[in-house]
Amino acid sequence: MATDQPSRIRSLLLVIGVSIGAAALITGTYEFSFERILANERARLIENLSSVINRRPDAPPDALEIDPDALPEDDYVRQVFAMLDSAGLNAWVYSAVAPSGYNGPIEFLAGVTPVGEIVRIRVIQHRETPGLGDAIEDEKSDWARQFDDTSLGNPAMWALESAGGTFDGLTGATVTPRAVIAAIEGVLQYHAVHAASLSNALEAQRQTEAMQGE
Amino acid sequence: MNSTPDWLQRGLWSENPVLVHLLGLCPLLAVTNTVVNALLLGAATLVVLIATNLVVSLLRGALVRSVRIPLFVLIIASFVTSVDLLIDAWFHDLHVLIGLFIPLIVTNCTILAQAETVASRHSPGAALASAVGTGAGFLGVLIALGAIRELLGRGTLFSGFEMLLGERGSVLEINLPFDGALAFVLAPGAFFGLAALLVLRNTMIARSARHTETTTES
Repeated sequence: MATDQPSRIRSLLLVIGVSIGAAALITGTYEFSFERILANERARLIENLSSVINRRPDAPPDALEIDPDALPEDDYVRQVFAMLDSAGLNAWVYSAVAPSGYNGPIEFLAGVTPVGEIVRIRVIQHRETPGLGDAIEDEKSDWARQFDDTSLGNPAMWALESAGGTFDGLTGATVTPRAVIAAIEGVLQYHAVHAASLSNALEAQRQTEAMQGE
Repeated sequence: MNSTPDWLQRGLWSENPVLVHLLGLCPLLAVTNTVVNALLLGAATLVVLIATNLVVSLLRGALVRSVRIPLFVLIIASFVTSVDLLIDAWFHDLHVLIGLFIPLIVTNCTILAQAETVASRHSPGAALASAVGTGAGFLGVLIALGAIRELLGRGTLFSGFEMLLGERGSVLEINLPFDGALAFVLAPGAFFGLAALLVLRNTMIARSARHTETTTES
């Protein structure tokens, strides 16, 4: 470990050498593993999205994200996925946000059939109060299951029971359920207005993909 | 002067990175809520430590004093990045759980300390023995703490091994007839558990010291 003048050149060469070695190691590992990592992430995404749709037996669904540039602006909807299986379009999954939760935005997934019926909704991220508002989580209560099979017009009034609607609230939390209900209704309205253009976008994307595949 | 068993013994017990030097506490406290998390992070640290010590020891003749620390960090960071990628590819479910803490292995002072005090001054054989001892010492404490916290916090032991071993891993899970106290899963439980291990080690040392005293007197 010398500290004299020529050691500067030696330091430089040493740092360059070790850096090249480090870069080679990381590049090699990346090349070796990135395909598996991508496949894992895709499987996880599909698994996640499939949790809010009804799988057809023996027909594992695939997910195709609608190009975000093709999506109309919306207060609630952030991403749209078409869930496809061997029989064609199974359902749409909307990744949406209820912006006015008690402690900030509540993110959820909503599975919607092509005719506009909710299959299921599932809250995936929130900061609602533990013990009160957090009952919107599937792990904490069945609250989110009351939206199964609902649609615009069924029930007629998208509101809490206390506000003249039919949905159950949560004890000690009013803001949270109200925000979620408004956001789900928003997703359904989005679906009612844009389902046709989403189908067109999906068709266009599948054609492009098919052409690239050839 | 320092034989291989001696190097191993120091890392595992007399110079244990956690119980003696209290190093690497950030990952230690963060991931020890179950045995499987502790095992994966401990094993990743062990691999990085072995690889780093070997490379540093092989380069020790060429090292320049003024740039050695940045080089150690560069070497450690490259190995950690590689290990992180491999875990993401082969143990994806576990990576989702503890992936946040794998890059933090770089900041584990144990590894830098090993590179500086052992690997840059000794032969690859000694550096390897020291890395194995120290890494195993770290891994052992992680697993012990993970077992304590999983047992008291959830009432299970070895849960989640299917994420490491595939389907057959789930047979390892032991379920005890109680739900456990949430505090042990959360951060305070980590401190309680670590404190208990420190007390245990210090008591054992005090006992053996007293034992030696009495035998020399008699």
